[in-house]
Amino acid sequence: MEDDKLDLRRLEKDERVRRLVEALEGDDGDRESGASEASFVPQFPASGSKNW
Amino acid sequence: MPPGAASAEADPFHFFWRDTSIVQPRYEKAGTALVAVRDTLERERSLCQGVDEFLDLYRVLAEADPADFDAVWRDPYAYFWARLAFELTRAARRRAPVPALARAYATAQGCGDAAAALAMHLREFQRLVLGACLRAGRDCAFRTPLEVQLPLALPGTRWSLAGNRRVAVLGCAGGRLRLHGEESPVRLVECPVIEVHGLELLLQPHVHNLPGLGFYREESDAGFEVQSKHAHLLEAALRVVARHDPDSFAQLGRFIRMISLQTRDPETYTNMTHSDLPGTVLITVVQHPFYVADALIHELHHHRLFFLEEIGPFLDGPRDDLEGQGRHLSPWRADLRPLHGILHGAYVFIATTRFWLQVLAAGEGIDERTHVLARSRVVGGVLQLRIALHQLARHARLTAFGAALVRQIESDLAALRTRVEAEGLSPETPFVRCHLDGTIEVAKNPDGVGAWTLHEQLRTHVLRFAPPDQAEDILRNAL
Repeated sequence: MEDDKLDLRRLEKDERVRRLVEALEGDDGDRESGASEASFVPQFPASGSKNW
Repeated sequence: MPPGAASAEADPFHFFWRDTSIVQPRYEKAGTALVAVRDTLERERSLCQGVDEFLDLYRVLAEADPADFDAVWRDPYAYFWARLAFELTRAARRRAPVPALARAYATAQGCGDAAAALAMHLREFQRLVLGACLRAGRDCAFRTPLEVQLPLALPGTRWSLAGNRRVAVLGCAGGRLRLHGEESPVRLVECPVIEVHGLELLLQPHVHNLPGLGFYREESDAGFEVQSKHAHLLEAALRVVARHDPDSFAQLGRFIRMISLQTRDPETYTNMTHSDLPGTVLITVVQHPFYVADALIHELHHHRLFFLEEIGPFLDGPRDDLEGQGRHLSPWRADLRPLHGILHGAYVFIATTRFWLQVLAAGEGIDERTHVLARSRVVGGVLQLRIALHQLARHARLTAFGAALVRQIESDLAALRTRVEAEGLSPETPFVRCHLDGTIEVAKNPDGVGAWTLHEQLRTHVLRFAPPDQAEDILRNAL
């Protein structure tokens, strides 16, 4: 099944935006404040070494 | 359980291995991050330079046809851009620590602080606007040129601006790019495309040519020569996946849209998936379709796990993050790894070991050298998975979501072991290497007597690379 088309105008009204803005603009300096949406997957290149 | 993972309890096998409803939320999340950055910058226009121009460019993208926005926003670069924009805005706004990739990115761009890096990054939004305008056949002109090192992949399209020089892009006109210092707009080149059983994939290495990433290599194809030359190998590998692992094949197009074929030094070659470039993988050219099929399944599942992990973290301790220091033996690598890397390895090797078992079960049409390779990969995979799961059980602090994933992997490994025993395969199966030219080599025992068994090879690996306490524990309990 294909996904719905992504629509920026619809995303502008998404409830998650408010929580992300809180995470951007919160004043307590705590990385985890705001919302779980504000954390992304750990960043890394997953690489396979030779022959494994 | 995090929202979005409810079915991980009801039907964990389907959720962790087959469910493709996990795709859309990640792209939506990146989209909401873009909107949040826009909202914050509208209120704080002095946060960095270039905010007004960014807001104008945002409006261009917002007014694009949804089909064009969709194509651009599913391009690997869009997630890369949105995440960095979010993190740099947060760092500039809150004087918060700058994450590692954003730091590398800022350094590569010659930016000393988060605000300068954000200003630079906001200009890079022009790449996405170019993609949308080119798709729509619209012209655009930038107030400030976009300075990029070629080659430049245009998001949401098959086109690249080829070359290996630095240029200043002024906009686009008539489906071409307007460059500073060039009288006529410059023509774009189209990347090769392959199609197997209805699955269409772009061979597009230029998407990896990004500041701070550090794994684009010039010899890997400014003009798509490597891609064109080896496209047939990739097509053959995809047919292997379709035949022996139809479940993975059915998902491939959802998680991978672009492939970059690489020719690498035989001593260092790797395949690679980057967390921040969803939909694209680097695959090393090895002249053996089954080996390349293994790589495709492997990288597909790294992506799948990144999509799952965007729902919620697997590990409870930031010390175990891949962004942290490696402290644990991995059965797959010589360097010590964070537990997060071992968890990723366990997940993807369940998938590849399952594939090789299917190859063994196929019987007819599989030549002997492929059989030898398959036996080694199956037995080696099971032994490595035992070590990996032991390391996780011994050392990892998992979230409820992570614990559900590990339970599923344990169940998968138990099923694989039953099948391996039914095939009559033992840990004394020889360790086999596959070389770049596709030849298969049965490894010699370093003692010089006979073949090197997988059990012995892994025992040597543990003794050589594990910290002493981990080595003793693994040899006693997991090998």
